[in-house]
This record gives sequence, C-alpha cells and structure tokens, in this order.
Amino acid sequence: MTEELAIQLIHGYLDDTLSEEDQLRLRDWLEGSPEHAELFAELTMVHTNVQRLLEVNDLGDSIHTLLKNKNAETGQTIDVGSAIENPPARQDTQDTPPLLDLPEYQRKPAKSRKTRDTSNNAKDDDHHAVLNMLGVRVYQKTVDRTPRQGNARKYLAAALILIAVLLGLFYLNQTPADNEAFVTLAADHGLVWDEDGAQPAVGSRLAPGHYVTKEGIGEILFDRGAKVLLDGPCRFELTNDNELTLHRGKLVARITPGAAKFTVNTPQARVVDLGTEFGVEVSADGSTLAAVFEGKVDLKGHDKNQTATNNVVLSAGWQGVVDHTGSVEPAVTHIPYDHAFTRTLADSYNTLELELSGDVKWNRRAPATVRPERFHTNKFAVVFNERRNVKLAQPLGDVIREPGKYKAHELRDRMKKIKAGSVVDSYLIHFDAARAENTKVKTAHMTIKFPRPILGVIANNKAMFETDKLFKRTGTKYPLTAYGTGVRGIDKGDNADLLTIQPDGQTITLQLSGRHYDHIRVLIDSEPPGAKD
Amino acid sequence: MQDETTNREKAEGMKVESVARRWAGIHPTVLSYVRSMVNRPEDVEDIVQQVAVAILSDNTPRPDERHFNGWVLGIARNRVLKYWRDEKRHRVVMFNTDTIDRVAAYYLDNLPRNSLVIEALEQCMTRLTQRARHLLELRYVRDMKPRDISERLGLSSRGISVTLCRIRESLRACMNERMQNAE
Repeated sequence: MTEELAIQLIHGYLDDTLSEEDQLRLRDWLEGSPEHAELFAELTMVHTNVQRLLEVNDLGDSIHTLLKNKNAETGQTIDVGSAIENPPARQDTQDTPPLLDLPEYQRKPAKSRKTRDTSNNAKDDDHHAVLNMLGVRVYQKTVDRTPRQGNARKYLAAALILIAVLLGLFYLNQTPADNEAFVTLAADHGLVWDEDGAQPAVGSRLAPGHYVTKEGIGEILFDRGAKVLLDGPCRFELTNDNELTLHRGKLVARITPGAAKFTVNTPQARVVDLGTEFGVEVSADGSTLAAVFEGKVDLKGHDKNQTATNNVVLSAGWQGVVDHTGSVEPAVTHIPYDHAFTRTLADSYNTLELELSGDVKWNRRAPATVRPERFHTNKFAVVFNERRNVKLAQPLGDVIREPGKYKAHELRDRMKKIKAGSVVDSYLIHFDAARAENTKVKTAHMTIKFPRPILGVIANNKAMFETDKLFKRTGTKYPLTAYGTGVRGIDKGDNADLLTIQPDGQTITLQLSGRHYDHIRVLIDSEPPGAKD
Repeated sequence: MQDETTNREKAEGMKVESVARRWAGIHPTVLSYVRSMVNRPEDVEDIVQQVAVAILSDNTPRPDERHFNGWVLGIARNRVLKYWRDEKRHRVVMFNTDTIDRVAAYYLDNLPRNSLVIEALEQCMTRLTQRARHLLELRYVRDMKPRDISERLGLSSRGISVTLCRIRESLRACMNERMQNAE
C-alpha cells in the first residue's frame, strides 16, 4: 500500500467512514512497521489537537456567530483572533440553523444522527469478568455464576488438575535426571560464589540444585539455548533444561528459538518468555520486577499457595511488578532510563576508563531509552558508550574536532570530516533537565576526558539523527524523528550551550543550559596508540 | 544515601495532591491519545474517566514523580487494549498491542513539545479559508460525521471526507513547517 493511500485510510478512520475491508487494510498496514504507527500517531495528533483547540477556544460558536453577522457569502477570511478576544454569546447548538448560506450548498432535510446503543448486557458481563485494569489478558478470580454452573466448573477444574498432574508426572519423566547437567557456566566477570555452596569454574557443567553468588556477574548457557546473566548477589535454583527459579537478586535472559517459553520462577511470580530478552529482579521485600527489552513476556502473579492471581503480557520497553502478595500492580510502566540490569557482559568490562568531573555520571550499563522525559534530572548529565570499533565506510561530515570553544551558531562554519576507513568508538552524552512547573532549570558544567584522541564531536540536531543509525546502541531507544527536527545537539539562544575541545584532543568541557534536552555524540579513535602501521 | 531516599520516595509514591496536579497537566495528552485510538466519542469519555479514577484511587500504588507521565499513559494504554478486546465481538479490531504501544510511546515522547505543537497548529488554523473552518466546526464542535455534514450541506459524503482529509493534511504540513522554524 502506498503511503498516500494509507494517509487517506487514516483520515477515514478518524472520521469513522472506513468500510470493514478498509479497516482491515489499515490494520495490516499499521502492523507492518513501527514507522507506520508513528505516522498514524502524527496524523491523529493533528486531528485530536484541532479538536482540542476548537473545544478550548469554543471557536465553533465564535465562527458561527461571526458568519451570521458578517454575511458569509463575501468569502472573507474570518479573523479568528478577534473572535477569541471578543467571544459572542453562546447559542443552543442542538437546534442551530444552517450556518452558511453559500449558494453552492443545496441543503437536504437533515436526518437525526444515529447513536450507538451502548447498553450491552454481554459487554457488561465482560466488564465483570475482566475487571483488572492491567488490560492485557488479566482475569478476575471471582465471577458471578449460578450454583449449577459453579459445580460444573468445580468438576471441570478437578478434572483439569488431575490431567495436569498426570501430564506433569509424564513431563518430569522426560526431563534430565537429577544429576544430569544441562547448563554451562560460560563466562564470569568478578563472580564470587558463596563459600558454603557449589563454586563452579568457568566452563563447568552445572547440575540441578541451588546456587548462591555474593557478587559479580556470571553467564550461564542452557543446552536448549537460553543465555542468562546472573548479577550478584543472587540466589537461584536450576530446575530443568528450560527453567530456573530466582529467589533473590537479578538476571537478564536472552532466548533463542529453541528455548521458547523459557521460564523464570520467583517466590511470587512466573515470568514466561514470549520473545527474546527480558530482565527479572527479586527484591528483599519479595516483590518481582520483570522488564522486557525485546519481544514479550507473560508475567504471572501467584499467592503463597501458588494460586494464580493475575497476569500481564509485557511488550518491549515496559516493565511490571508483582508485589509480595502475588498481585500484579495495576499498571505497567516504561522501563526507566537508569534501570539496573546488566544486559551484556561487555557492559561490565569497560576497560576504557573515562575521567569525569562536574555534573556528569558515567553510565556503564545499556540505557533502555534516551528519549525525552524518560530520564530527566537537574542533577547531572550521563555519558555512556554506544558502539565500539565502527569502521566508517565513507567520510563522516558535520563533526567538529579542532581544539577551541564552540557555540551552536558557530558549528556550521567549523565543520570537519572524519576520513573513510577510520575506526571509531562512540559515546553519547545525554542531559535532560527537569522542566516541570516551578522547577528551576540548572546549567550543568562538566569535563570528560576520553581514553583516546577525539576524532569528531557531533553537536547539531540534524547530524545527531543522521548518525543514530550508525552508532546507536542496540537495545536503547533513541528519539523519534517526528516532524523532521528535534532539539538534540547543543542549544542556541541567549543562554547558549558551550562546548570546548581542550588542547589535549581527548577532553571536552560542556556547559549545558538545560533548556532542552541535549545530546552530544563523541567519536574517539578505537585503536590504541601504536596499533596502527 | 541518595539511593535510600529514592527508594523511600518510590515506596511511598506520590501524594494525592501531587497526583491531581500532575493529572491536570497530562489530561489533554491522555485525551488526545485515547481519541486517536478510539474513534467513538462516548467511549473516549468513558476510558479517560476510568484512567482518572484509577490514578486517583487510594488503592493504586503510585510511582515516583519522574515516572508519572509514563505511568499514566501506561494506564491509558491498558484501558485502550481492554476496550479493543471488548469490542472484538462487535467489530473489526483496529489495533494490536504493538500499534497501541507505539502510539502511546509517540505521545509520551512528544510531551515536551506539546505546547509548541499547539501553538503552531493554532497559528495555522488562522490561515484556513472560511469554508475550511466551517467544515472543521461541523466536524469537531458539532461532532458530525461526514455523512451528517453532507446531508446538512447538500454535498456528497465522499466530497466532505476528501475535503476534511485535505484540510488536516494542510494543517499538518503547515504545523511541521512552523515546528521546524521554531526549533
């Protein structure tokens, strides 16, 4: 389908004029790509904001009266501003005569509008059955039924339990024997096992049983394909070849197709993989948090008797919590920017040390998002490594690299290029100051010394968007290119941001006003000195 | 120490007064989001009301303030999902979970720019012709569908639909141009 046709269908949807066939076409198109959904959102935003403006200003009544007073046939443009400044008296909109007497309009007798019958008993029943506001496949435990239905359901439930027990016994017979290992400790970073328990080395096979780590990160591989990063301190139990129980601590699981439905059990929840990558954390208070980075998971709560309470299917970018009672919280939220999950072992290595001073922190872990309003604080900016060893296939323009001070309006005249074939590491500096009401926005000052020479700094909005594809960190959500522009890079204006590249060629100093959220991308030489010919 | 403070704030959540104040700020965005996903006005009102009740309920655990907007849009998103699940028996389900999530994310991402968007759109609307504004009034203030408008004005329903489409597209183009200049 062409974009033009899709736009027509979206407008048809907004006016509720689509045939069933067109609705299906639009639905399929929307599901085809994230960009389609974003275009849909942009168009609907115009629609809803027009409606909002007309409602807020009561512009309709103003135009109505003006048209009547000014003889609409003249075709003059109405001064909407004056209509707002001098609002005419409201009129009864229920019995309003035709607004325009334009000659070309041949009016037909008006019919009364059809209204939808919203009194639907079946729908009401459904509301009772699905009370939980979690929204996605959340089932209420108690539903009004007749006694006969209740008994029938009891018998049915008993039969199902019996079948489940038999199936369970059968399944247990198919799983590896207790002493048969199905997990390998593939790697560790500073992993320290508890002295009182098993202390396997890297490369060892892990038998079913309990394990306790005191600190560090271990990477275990299930034979069926699940890869799990266990972030100490944590206590976990290997139960079968596609499942583990996390009693305390946190982990991130990445699932291959062979390990579909990989399950993490916790004291109050079951987290079942429906996609590819998710994190689970069991807190000291017994609550379970599940965060989805890619794909989907089914987060199911249960009480102390293992009776299921409710569940939610979480999509990528969202997280949900099961509290200590086993109840899923009434709302899921976006994964915060500063989430505490380690997603790759490389996250913890970071052998290239940055030297920081001022209002900046080094985020060694992959952020979930750097979109606006997801992580905003007056206190500090954040710098993190995006990608390493990126070889430039062609020259990269629109960068600055000569030592000196730069303001936004000076960037264009001082742009340089990084030559093709260069291999670079990319870092992103993110500052999203709070802009809530009554909040004084702070100017952040910081100095960052990078471990190798700076080859280029990207500090303008357009180039930031253009280079996202090349340097963006996998798994991190970047700002959308809605409206074609944004406010990334350093800011112009009276309180302009100031960027300084120090004479050593490895250090930058920033003064960021915090008026808009700022992104600065720093590209450094990825090869250590002496590595080149 | 900072972590302890954050954890305590997170555990306590936001006060009701603070929630009410923040709700007033995000209400227009929630309304817009729900309107975009649900094209029946009576259902939109129900859903927005349900969201308000949910976030102001004493039984609802609340997040700390910085996650408030995402939390509220998350609730709205859940309500929209539930709505379409309930509608499944009556009509074609227009959106799957991914689409609903993506549109919610779009509205959340654009929150900081809302005032700019509204300002740009308001300016663009002053440039509309008399007839275009009249059609918008019928469509949005009187909440008339193209068929009703066509009957009222004696024009074809298709012609009204096409004109409304063109008006909104011209507004979108104008708004984008102004946004680019503003930024």
